[in-house]
Amino acid sequence: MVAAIAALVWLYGNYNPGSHLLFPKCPFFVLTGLECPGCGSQRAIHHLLHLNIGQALQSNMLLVLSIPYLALGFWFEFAGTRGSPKAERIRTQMYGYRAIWVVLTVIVIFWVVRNLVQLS
Amino acid sequence: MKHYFYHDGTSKQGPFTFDELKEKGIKRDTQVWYHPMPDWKPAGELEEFADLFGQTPPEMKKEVKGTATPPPPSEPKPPMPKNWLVESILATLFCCLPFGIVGIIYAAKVDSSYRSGNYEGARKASKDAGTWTKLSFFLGLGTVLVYLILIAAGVATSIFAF
Repeated sequence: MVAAIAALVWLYGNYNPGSHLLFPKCPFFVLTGLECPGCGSQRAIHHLLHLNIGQALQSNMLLVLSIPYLALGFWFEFAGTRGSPKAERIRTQMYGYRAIWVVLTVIVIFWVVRNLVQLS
Repeated sequence: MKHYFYHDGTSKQGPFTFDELKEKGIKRDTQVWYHPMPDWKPAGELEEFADLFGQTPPEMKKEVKGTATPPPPSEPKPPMPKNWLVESILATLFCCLPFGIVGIIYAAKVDSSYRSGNYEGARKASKDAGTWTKLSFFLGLGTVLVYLILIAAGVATSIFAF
């Protein structure tokens, strides 16, 4: 697992997915010419590994902004809340039922808006 | 001889003798009047009905909303099953949009079922969420492999073509 992550970090750090054939293209983009919510995430990772936040945001803003959220989510999932009522409350508010629908809505809005921006 | 009247909720009935009235199936809270009572009274408060009601248990008092709530069931709460939210968001962002989104919807279902006490439903939704997330993971992995194989084949072909 650690080796796989290290390999990916090396790969995405050293090669820009935007300019190498080696990296798979998004099938949705290939088929429709429209960007899906995940398009640009490989490039975003590459730019992030180079601490190039601006370009990472341009590649996939949603991915960059969701990293803290996902990291905290992983933390809760693996470390749990350790019986802390405060952590439990945060978890319910940020990863509970309502939050999940907010996440879905954000993804769909991002999907639509990024294509509108692209087309205009 | 008293002439009894009772009120069935919509109109007054009577006059009846006491024996006739007993046949009418009146209850403790049925409003009853006879001369010279100043006002209607529930039958349960009148002495002469004591024998009649002696054998039937009193009506359950209706709870006033907000004052008394039944104690929560004390069955042990199982821990919430994994809802796969984070993984399905990752799947949405990195590979398989439709499957990832199905995963997110199931994540919401895990949460809502668990909160409403439907632990069995939560467990099931968790399983479904996991299935979709894993499916998208392996589908993504498969796509990458196929893609790499195709590229390798393409490179090989171009090498041998020249």
